Amino acid sequence: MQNAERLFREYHATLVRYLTRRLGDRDWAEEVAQETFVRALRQKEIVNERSWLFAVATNLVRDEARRVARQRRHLELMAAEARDLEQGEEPLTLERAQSASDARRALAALAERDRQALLLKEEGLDYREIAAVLDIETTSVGTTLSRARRRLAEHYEAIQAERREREKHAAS
Amino acid sequence: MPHPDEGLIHAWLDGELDADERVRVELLVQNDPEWAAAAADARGVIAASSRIVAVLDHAVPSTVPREIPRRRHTARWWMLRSAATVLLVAGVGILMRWRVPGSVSITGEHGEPRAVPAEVPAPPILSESQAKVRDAPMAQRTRPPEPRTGAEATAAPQETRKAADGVAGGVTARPPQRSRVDLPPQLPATASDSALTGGRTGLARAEPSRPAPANTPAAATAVERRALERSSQAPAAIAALKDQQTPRAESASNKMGHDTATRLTGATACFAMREPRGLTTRVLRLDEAQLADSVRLGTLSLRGDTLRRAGAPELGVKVPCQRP
Repeated sequence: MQNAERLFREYHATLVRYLTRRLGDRDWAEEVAQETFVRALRQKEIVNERSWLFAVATNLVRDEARRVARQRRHLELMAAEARDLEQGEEPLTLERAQSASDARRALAALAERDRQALLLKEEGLDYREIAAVLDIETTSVGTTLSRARRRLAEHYEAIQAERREREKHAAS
Repeated sequence: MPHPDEGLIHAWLDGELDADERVRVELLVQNDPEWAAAAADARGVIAASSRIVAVLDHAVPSTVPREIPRRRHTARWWMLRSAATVLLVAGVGILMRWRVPGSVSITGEHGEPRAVPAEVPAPPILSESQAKVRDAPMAQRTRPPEPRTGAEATAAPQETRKAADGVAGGVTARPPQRSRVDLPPQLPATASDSALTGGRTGLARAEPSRPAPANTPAAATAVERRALERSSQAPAAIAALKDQQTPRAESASNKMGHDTATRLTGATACFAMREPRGLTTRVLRLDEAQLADSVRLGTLSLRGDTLRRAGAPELGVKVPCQRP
């Protein structure tokens, strides 16, 4: 039990944040995190806890059967967000929501491995742990990350420029 | 000079290179303008990507969980807890000594029996009205009485005054002769003692459900129950007092349904658990860290058997605590 509590204390918040950023759905992220910790409790021995947890969570996200079931909810959530934006909220909230939407689109434009490496790094995993989660060589993590970061920045800038252009046309 | 390796530069900036490699990259960045430019560019890219990932959290303010600040285990907390425990034990001891009528043998600190003088006043028992007032929330106690009519109105001031006396004077203000339970002369020390006191420090147990008699003192405290037991009183009275917990135990049983752990809250929490011998209520004193963990753990809705496998046999469904 102590071990279970410690696992929660140390990794639950970061795991849920990683999954939420990855999936864009807090409820879904909570469910995946829950399943991950349940599996951790069943596991007799875990050598590297953090990479094990993130690897299991990542594999769960990959599970196509779950994805199909949940994607409907995800789409509904996105639709609800879009409706909220259309109804017009406070300028600051709208701006933030647009930035978040742009960031999500930019992240979605990355290759799966690049995206995962980036999000895992943002959660503080080191190269060895990222390599373990993604099942790649440690020496290639730097290259993967550099590519992911650059592409994310480029996509984000392009998306924002496109949106600004669209708004300018709409205003004129 | 080698061409700048962007992956290597990112690894260097992330602090992931070993000592030799780090020195080599540092020299290259210092001495080669191309490497220096690549390093500056990489710094910008890393900062930008981190900022973009952070922007994801803006979608819905409450969507992404924040870091929960870890509680620091300080000496002060343990001192406070120890002091509270000592005070509690001392208080219970004093109360029991003071309340027990007749000469009753009480085990001392070192296990030796001590004699309690016979002139010690009898244990005060609350009347129903006093108990109601004492058990009522503070808002109800301070609320002015609603207007009454007829005989009710004439009886009300006296009753209110009696109840208020019981509250204002606390335990010491209550007259000892107000007992409404007929108490037989002797209660042998039996297993019922450990059943009521829990057998272990910090545990209090409830017996399986039984209907409560109408003349039961409605709000006798755990201390009073123990005092009654130790002061050679009636098994009937003890049984009646045990029945005080019946509604709560039933409620817990209904809530529990099957063996499922649910959200845990409260600084001192009571948990109902189904065990082979019946429903048991346990009082767990959780410190802040344990509580925070339990709350987070509670969101998982883990099955009880899973928790037990993980070494958590004491988790159950939270129920209202009996306040001594």
